[in-house]
Amino acid sequence: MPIDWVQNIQDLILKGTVPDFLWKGLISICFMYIIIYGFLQVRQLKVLQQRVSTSSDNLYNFVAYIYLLVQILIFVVTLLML
Amino acid sequence: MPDNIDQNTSVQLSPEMDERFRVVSSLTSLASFPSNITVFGQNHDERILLFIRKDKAVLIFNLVVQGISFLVPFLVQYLLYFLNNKFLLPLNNSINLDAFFTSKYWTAIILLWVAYVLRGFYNIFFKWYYDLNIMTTNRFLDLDLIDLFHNRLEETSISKIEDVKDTQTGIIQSLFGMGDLEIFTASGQTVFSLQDVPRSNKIRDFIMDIVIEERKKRPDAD
Repeated sequence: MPIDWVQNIQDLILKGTVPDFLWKGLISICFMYIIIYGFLQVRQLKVLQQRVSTSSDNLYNFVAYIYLLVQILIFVVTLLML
Repeated sequence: MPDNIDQNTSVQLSPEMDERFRVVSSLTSLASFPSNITVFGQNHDERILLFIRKDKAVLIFNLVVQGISFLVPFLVQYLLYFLNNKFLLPLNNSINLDAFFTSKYWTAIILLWVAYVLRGFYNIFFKWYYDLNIMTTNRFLDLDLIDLFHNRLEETSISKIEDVKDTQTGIIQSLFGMGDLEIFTASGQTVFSLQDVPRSNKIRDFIMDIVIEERKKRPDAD
């Protein structure tokens, strides 16, 4: 006996029933969440550095910005690929 | 004055305490008299005596677990192939998974997952880095980074510290020489609970040395 929902899902994903813009939209929303969260994390880092400051604060600020940059790059590469 | 007496606090330190903790890098879990750290509200005559974080083994364990989570998409891929072959293929309704797993959408999902796991690495590192306890010549501070918008800084005066309890439980703590410390105040309540700190017995000894010295300076406090 054929299983209709399997065929439906197959059509939905593989035969282009899901429009490209929907894929892009969903993946962009997920990336935007991660990137905005990253910005807030960097902001939080500065708040914490005001409370306890070490001689390596500048290094970790740099690491945090590199982290953000990598996240944005992954996002851009993904969008270009889609 | 002998070498093992700290001139600011007049606390006589055991040679072990004096030497072994005097290693300060930004990634250290334990340091005595660090010179490269300042805390909010530190007075000009206030000196940091002890700097404590969770043991590095805790950080490494969490990072390894996070690293393993990189494999989740591939595990999902394997699982879907398995389910497809096991249950759908016999019914002649198998999905052509190859088309999806070689598509750009699957690559996008993997990249999204990589970004998510990177975020996890960042979180784990800075949660460890800023979950710290500092003892100065005047006070004991506990800074916790609980979540993105939730951090907590607690402090108490050294003169209020009554007792310190050191507990070592389990194989992991015994293996890595870690322990849990509870610091009690004059009211008998636990105000600070330090988990998985390295060389907890020596930290307890150090704190009690400072507390006893503080009591000697203020005999009327008892």
